[in-house]
Amino acid sequence: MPKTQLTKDKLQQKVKELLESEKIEAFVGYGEGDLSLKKIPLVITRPEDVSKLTFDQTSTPLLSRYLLDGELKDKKVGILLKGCDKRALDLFEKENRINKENIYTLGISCNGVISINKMSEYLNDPTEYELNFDGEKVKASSKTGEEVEFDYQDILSPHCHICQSPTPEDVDDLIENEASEALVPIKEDGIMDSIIELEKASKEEKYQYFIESLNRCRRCFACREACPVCNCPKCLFDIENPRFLDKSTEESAQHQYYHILRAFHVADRCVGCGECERACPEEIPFYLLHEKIKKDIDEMFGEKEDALSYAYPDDVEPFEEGGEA
Amino acid sequence: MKLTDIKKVLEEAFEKNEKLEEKYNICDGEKENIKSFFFPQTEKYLEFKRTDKGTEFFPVNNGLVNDSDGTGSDETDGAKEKINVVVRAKPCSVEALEVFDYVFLSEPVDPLYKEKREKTIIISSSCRELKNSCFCTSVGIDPYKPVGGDVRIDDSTGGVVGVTPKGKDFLEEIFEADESKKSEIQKLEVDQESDLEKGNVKTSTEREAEKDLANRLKDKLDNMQDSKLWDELSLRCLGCGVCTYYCPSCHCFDVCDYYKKDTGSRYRAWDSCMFSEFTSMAGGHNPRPTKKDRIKNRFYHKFNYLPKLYEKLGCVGCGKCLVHCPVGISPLTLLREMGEIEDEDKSISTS
Ligand code: SF4
Ligand code: SF4
Ligand code: SF4
Ligand code: SF4
Ligand code: SF4
Repeated sequence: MPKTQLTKDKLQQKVKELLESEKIEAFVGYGEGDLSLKKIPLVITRPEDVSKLTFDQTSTPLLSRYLLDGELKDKKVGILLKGCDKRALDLFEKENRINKENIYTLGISCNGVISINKMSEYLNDPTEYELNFDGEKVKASSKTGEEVEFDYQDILSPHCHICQSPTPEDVDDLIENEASEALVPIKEDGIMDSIIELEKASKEEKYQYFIESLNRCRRCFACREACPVCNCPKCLFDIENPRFLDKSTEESAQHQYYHILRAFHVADRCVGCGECERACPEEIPFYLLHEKIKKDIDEMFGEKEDALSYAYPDDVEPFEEGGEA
Repeated sequence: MKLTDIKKVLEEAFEKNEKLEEKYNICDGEKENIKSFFFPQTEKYLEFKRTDKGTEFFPVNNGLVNDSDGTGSDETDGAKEKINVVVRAKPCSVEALEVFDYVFLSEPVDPLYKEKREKTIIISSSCRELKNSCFCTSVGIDPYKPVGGDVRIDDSTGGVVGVTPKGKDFLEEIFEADESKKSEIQKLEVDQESDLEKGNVKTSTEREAEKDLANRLKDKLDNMQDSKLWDELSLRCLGCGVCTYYCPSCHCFDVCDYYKKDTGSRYRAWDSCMFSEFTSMAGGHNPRPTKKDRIKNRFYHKFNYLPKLYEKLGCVGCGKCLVHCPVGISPLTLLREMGEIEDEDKSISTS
């Protein structure tokens, strides 16, 4: 039996128990989407629906953010968490954004997820392929019969290369992922190779590199919305009066403004899930800005354990009366 | 020579002929969202400047007002003056232009759009391989029979034909400049067995089917105002702008002013109905305050309001939103819940 099937069986069994025993009212996990390369977030409430749950290296979206607001907020919910998703949940707890009492955390040991953006470095149209995972190798086959083989490493999300805790800690229960025999040798210093590369470049080269890539930005905000820690109830860039960010996409300076400011807002809280990188339709390497800031913080102030600052629900809205913008 | 080589054939013709080279600019309709040729993400209306004499306004090179004194914009980009020839325009994206024409060319006509639309030459061609993300046939579009376009490369009739006077003139001009291109273009042939011939896909060859579908979905949606589906979709949706920005038929825009010190400009820019501030009004009221209101509106616009207005769907099944949505939402989800597509396993309905 394929290892992903074994993992899936264990997951479904466990969730079935949780729902049947009424320990939880709903479970947030992954389901099959319309594209085989992307699992989708799925909320189920009935034990007979557990067969819809699945998990593999294409289960990319972060689930923790769904507990922040909306109808799941005050329910007894079970949630499937990879390492990064658990790190995000921990942050929400510190910030008082969730009620931990109501949440059953089902961890899953993770062996990284793929990035379709990475795949497009090798394939013209990644979504035309089905992936077959076999240990350290991945076979991509298209319906026209074309086959390409990769090292799993080649199409792994850049953030997963440096993930320090792919197996979530302090969870209510943990599902051992059958397919995870340390497929991913993790870089223990937590620094992306591309950061080291970039640091070697001259000032002008770096500038050129970022300008050229940032200018492709459509300002669709997928990078912001997909990020679990980018969760201010009112984002500075959405404020209309005064408008901080020009809607025009013609001025390079505005792209820089958006990305550098976002980098400063999230870098210290970033849980390194890589969803921002995967969400960007233009494949813009803006996340290197965050990674560089993280590295600088660590070097200059010593390794940080936690976010440098927290936001609390009763904080004064800085853009409203009484706040200090 | 393959049908898809039209781009190469034209590029060669242009290369050999300076006059053509100067006049035309080849754009790839497969690589780019073709709406951006007629409706760029940002388009300036005017610039303004505060001087001792008061505020002065300068219309920008939109073809409306001749900015001959040169005080306004300095963007006289050569490429902008050229005529765009959009090659490899797919049946889906060309269909989507009908939505655009409906919106921008009905009274009151939008002059910025009209100007670009009239100037551009669209070469539409049959689409021979359906991608995993395509579902044009589910919304009544025939990928082998492009509609629209000035020049059409059509499998079902065979060969390359000028459709509109503009398209015919364009072909004539190419042939006049380079006689050999005539036979080359005429010889372009079907390069592979299509999915249709292989039996991989069923397609409706009648445009009527699309009308039927539009009417059916419209009626069904009339009774789906309170469906739980909207709760489920809005829970999952992140509220970004991807689905609308990459959609060939989404056309909403915002008019904004931007100024620094004494100079500024007024322009329009793409907007997305999925953004929280999309319908927010002066004074702060927002008639669509929740994500649920917004995603519902997006689907109603495409599958109910537009069919009511002109019997066409606002979705051409190109699958762009499906490919780019970080959480895999697309009209397929809606069509499935409405019983138009069968696939129990992927149903999200939990009630
Ligand atoms: S960052 Fe990557 S490897 Fe680490 S837990 Fe998340 S998905 Fe898994
Ligand atoms: S910035 Fe990117 S990598 Fe960091 S938490 Fe947000 S989405 Fe994840
Ligand atoms: S996801 Fe990419 S294109 Fe969209 S706003 Fe972010 S960087 Fe720009
Ligand atoms: S792309 Fe997906 S997540 Fe983003 S607004 Fe559209 S449906 Fe929602
Ligand atoms: S809604 Fe999606 S599938 Fe339909 S036309 Fe727009 S991008 Fe294409």
